[in-house]
Formats: sequence, C-alpha cells, structure tokens
Amino acid sequence: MTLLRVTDLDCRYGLLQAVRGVSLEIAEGETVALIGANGAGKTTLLRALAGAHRPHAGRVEFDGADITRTPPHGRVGLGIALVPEGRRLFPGLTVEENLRVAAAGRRGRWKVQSVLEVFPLLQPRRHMSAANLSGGEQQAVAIGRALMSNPRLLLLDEVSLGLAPVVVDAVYRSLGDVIKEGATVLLVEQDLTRALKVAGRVICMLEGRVVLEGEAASLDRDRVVGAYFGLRRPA
Amino acid sequence: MTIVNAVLQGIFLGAFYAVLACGLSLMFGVMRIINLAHGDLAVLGAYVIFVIVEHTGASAFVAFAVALPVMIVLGYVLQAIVLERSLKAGILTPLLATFGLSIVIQNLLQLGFSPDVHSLGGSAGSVTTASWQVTSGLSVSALGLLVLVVAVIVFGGLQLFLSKTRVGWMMRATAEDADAAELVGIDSRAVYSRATAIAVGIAALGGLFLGIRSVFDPVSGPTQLIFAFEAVVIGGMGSLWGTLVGGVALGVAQTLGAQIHPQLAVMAGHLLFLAVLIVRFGGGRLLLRSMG
Repeated sequence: MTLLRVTDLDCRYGLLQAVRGVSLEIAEGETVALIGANGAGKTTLLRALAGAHRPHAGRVEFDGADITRTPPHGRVGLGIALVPEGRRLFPGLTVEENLRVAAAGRRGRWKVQSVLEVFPLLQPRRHMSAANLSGGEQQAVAIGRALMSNPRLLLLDEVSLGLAPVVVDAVYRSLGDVIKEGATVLLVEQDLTRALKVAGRVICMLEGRVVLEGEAASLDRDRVVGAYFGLRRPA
Repeated sequence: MTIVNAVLQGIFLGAFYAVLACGLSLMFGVMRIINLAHGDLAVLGAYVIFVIVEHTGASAFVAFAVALPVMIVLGYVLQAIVLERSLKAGILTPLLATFGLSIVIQNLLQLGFSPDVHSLGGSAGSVTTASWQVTSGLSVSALGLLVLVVAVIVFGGLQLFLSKTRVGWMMRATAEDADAAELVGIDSRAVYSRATAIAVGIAALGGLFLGIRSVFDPVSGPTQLIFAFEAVVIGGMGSLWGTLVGGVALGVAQTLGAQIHPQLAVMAGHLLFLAVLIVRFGGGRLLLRSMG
C-alpha cells in the first residue's frame, strides 16, 4: 500500500530551484535511502515532506490524503516525523524534556521508557541538559524525539553526519530495531555502502531531480556512483 | 538607617517594575517581539478594572479578578489578528505593529475616558494606607509588601509552569527553535497565543498595582514601558528571574538616587540602565575609543 506519494514537487529558495519536478512513491513498511551529492536537494525534499519547506508547486499525499498545505505540526499528528539535519535539539531542555515535549497526538509503542531501551546510552543522561551531550548522544535524542510521536513515516536527514564511525554503527544498530518494528523510513545518507546495506530501495538525486531509482540489491555500485556524480546521465 | 529604608522601599518599588516587566520579558523570550504597547496594555487593564469598580462599587481586587479573563482573551485576540501576521514579515514589523497598537490604545482611551487622571487607590481598601513601623527610620507598607509577595508568586509560578509542565516545555522549546518545535508536533501559533495571553494578563496585574499605587491617564503607558524595558535589559533580555532582579535593581537605584536629591530618582534608574548597557554590550571599548 502506498503510504507517501509525491507528484511533480518543485521547491525554491527565491530564484534557486532546489527540487525540480520530483515524483516518488513509498509503500508502507519500506526503507528507502535517498542519496546524492551535496546540493542535490535531498534535505529540501525531506523538509518539504515534513512541511518545514513550503513547495512552489506539486503535491504531497500521505495515506491517500493531500497534505501539501498541512503545517509541520499537523503532519506530525498524521504520523510523519523528521530527524532534521544538524539534530536541532532544544539545548535548554533536559534529555527527558526533549523527548516528552515531542509526545504529541499519536499514541503507540514509543514512550520515554521504550526510547531509552533502544538508546541505552541515554539512560544516565536522562536529566542532563541536551546541550551537554556528545554528538552521538545528541543524535540518539534527535531520533528518539522523532519516535516519540509514533510516526508511520520516519524521515532521517544525515544521521551519521559528524559522528565517529563506531557511534554511527551504534546509531544504525538502534535504527535496525526501529525498522524491525515496521516503521516506514526514508533516510538521507552520504555513505553509499551503508545506504545500500540498510535500505531496500535507493533513490538518487542530482541537481534537484531523481536520476536513478531501484532495488538496492539490483543496483550495481558503478551505476549508482555514475548517477551520484552525474557522470553518465540517463538520456 | 535612611539608606536601609531607601533600599527596602526600592525593593518594593522594584517588585512593581518587575511585575510590569514580566510580560514584556516573556514575549521577548518566547517570540523575540519587543512589545512597545506593553505599558499601554497595563494602563488599559487599569481602565478595565476602573470601569468595573465604577459600575459595581466592588473592590479593585475583585474587579481585577473579573478583568483578568477579559485581558487574557484580549491577549489571544491580539496575537491572532495583529502579532501573528506581523511575525511573518521579519523582525521590524512586529516592532512597528506594537508601536501602532500603543498609539491606538492611547487614543481610544482618550476618546472613552478623557485625559483626566484616575486612581484605584480609593477602592483598594485599607491596604493602601496600612504600614508597620519597624524602627524609627524603617517602615514597611502593606501595599509594598503585597506587591513584593505577588511579584515573587508570579515569577515563581511562571518559572514552575515553564519548568514542570508540558505546555511550559513546549513554550521553551518554541522559544529556542520554533522551526524544530513545529517538526516535533508543536503548534507554534498556539504557543505564541498562550504566551501573549499570559503576558497581557500579567500586564493587567501591573495596571492594578499602578492604579492603586498612584494615578493613571490614557498616556501613562509609555512611561511604564520605559521602566519595564529597563528592568528587562538590566536583568538580561529574555531571562525571567533576571527580570525580577532587574526590576528590583532599578527600584533600588531610583530610591537611592532620591536620597541624594529627589529629582535624581528617575535619573539614577536611567544611569544604572545605561551602565548595564555599556558593560554588557561591550560599549566600554566604544566609549574609550570615542574619548581617545
């Protein structure tokens, strides 16, 4: 069943067109990796899906309903949660407050306790200010905060950015648990190998367009690299 | 002993300034709006209380209890029809919008109530005149003490609300990063409406104390705004406890100034404000450079 359908989406920053006529579909339960070079429009696309960026044209449908004009907090209520680039925690709030403040609308499996079970490293940090956490801990809070709304679609923007490889492994291990719970995930990832490993399907963007799309298993690395850098553009 | 008494009276006066400044500080902290109509909203609150007292003969405190929900609703409406729109247009527009609002409130009050001065002192009962003589040079007025106690309750209550309740966390989260707050499901417009409603409600409390302490007329607002603004800046912009401390510091500066010369009272407060500005915003270097 199609959970998310994007049709001819255009996103602009003034004169700059960051996303150009993107159409895509994501089925319930899928894990899709969105890859592409810096400036390809991945972050803008994710922000547009979360409602943080108002698209210039096009249509976003979630679970059959048109949500193109729904504000971000309304989309969280429907079941879309974004872990934004740069984590964007509330530094003046404690870890627990960061989590609890995000426990809006939807009820379900994820509560403070269950988030702390998936990210045990946060347990001792529970009452600490989010500003005093390490990068990995901050990322765990950011993901946990998104989970608190019990999303049906989880959008992850470069969760490995600025983290040590060991920490990235830990974050992805926890993400594996989340994915096993049946969540639908769209993640932006710079690390190609990791993206191909975790995702069932890969979408590659270049200069605001989708240039390659396919099952992760069926794509060979050369084709992906080609699309990634725009070396051999499909005619 | 006169100095001790001056400091004590300054604390009482400062508590009044802090109540005036509380809403200003909250709105700046949450929305980054400097509400230039804040003083006028306090005066408007005083007039609402005055009207209720005139029509019912009730005590000013009872009238305040009736006026408070009216002012809170006014805060919601103000946010929805004026501030919300202006917030979208950058940082200067809310400033201009509240400046305009200030003029509108003053003129409406002129129209409705004439430029005559009014007071709530007569309808506040014995609290306005009661006082305790501690020693020969030291007296504690009931009103001063009441304002101080209420100020501590208001600031303490607001602090508890912000640190212990989910709605309070939502307010802090929105203040820190409105964009990220929206992304975790917080309706920032609702949060802003609540903040403005609370701010206008506390402004009405300031209006009550203003009316009991002294007199007010339709253009009293801007003077109150200046004291409130100075309290906020002295205490550190956007910090709640800082605003209470800033208000008290301003009050003490004024009463100590008055000890030197009665005309120096308000000036001493301004000088403290300027000194804090110079120290905090690196004006010291600027001053040295302009002199050298």
